[in-house]
Amino acid sequence: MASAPENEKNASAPEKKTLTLKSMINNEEFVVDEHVALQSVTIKNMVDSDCAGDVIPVPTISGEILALVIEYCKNHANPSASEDDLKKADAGIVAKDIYTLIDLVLAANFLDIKGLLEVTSQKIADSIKDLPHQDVREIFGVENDYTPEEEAAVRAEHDWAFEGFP
Amino acid sequence: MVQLLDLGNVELTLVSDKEKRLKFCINDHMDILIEILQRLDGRSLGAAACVCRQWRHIARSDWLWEHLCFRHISPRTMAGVRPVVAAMGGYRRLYMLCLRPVLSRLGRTRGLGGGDPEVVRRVWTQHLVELSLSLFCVDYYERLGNGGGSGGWVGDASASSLMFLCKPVNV
Repeated sequence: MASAPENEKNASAPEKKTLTLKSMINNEEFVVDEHVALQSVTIKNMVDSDCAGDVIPVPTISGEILALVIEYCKNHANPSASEDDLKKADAGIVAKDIYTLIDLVLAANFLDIKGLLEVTSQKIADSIKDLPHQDVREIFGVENDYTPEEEAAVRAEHDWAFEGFP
Repeated sequence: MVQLLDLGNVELTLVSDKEKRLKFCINDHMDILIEILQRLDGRSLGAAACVCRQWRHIARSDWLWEHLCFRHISPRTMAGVRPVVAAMGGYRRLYMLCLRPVLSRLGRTRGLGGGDPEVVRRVWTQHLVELSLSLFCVDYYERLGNGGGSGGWVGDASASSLMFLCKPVNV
């Protein structure tokens, strides 16, 4: 019987629990409320399966990018935020250069945060849509594997897409 | 001396930045590439096909064009018409033949350019998609008629074709 109040305490305790996320690129650490971090399905799965220690190492994501991800999660964990507020906050988070956006989309994909993946992908799509494809190749590290003849043929086939294009 | 060292550092970071970029290739992350490509407009999707073979392969996938045809309306798909559209040439053809001319013309007449998101949002309605599907059927049956040679039961499509609805008219 004596354990009943203890159980209740435990049941309400997770709300205040915090997790520490550590970027393995520059060892920067971020202490975040658990319910904020749990928006990442990857972290949620780790916590649910008891794989998460006190410090959760996050490989391949720099502190700079992790800070953006946490900002996004904080905004979206706030129940009193209106849809308009969230839209504005999201727009602020993705108002970055294309290389930061690519790092951010990789992070969103790794941490499995659907909303962030969507807004970042949309922003990247908007940023590249008027760029010549030579620039697109360079940004995404894509090698041109067409032969000159093939490229000319593909270009001719998609000529309609280049009307009024630089 | 300090300056020299600083310069050396800057160069080093530039080099390592470049190396990092060179190592990164979006084609190793197919799921992300698809997330990005499916958010392009039709014109940019056409242009994206010129980037490399893999992009061309994705940019020609019919499901991507289906997504493009329906993403501005709700519900975002009409799964029921999928087999019919596929049989009549697919969603890419539907877009190119029926949606694109209307969208780019409406964009032009308003002097805003074909890809203006505001125009696209206003004109890309359920009705536009339904009308396009109807025109797509018309086109299909007319082609069927022409394919039958002189014995075609639809007759001379150029004179009686309903496809003029896709072409610019003075309003």
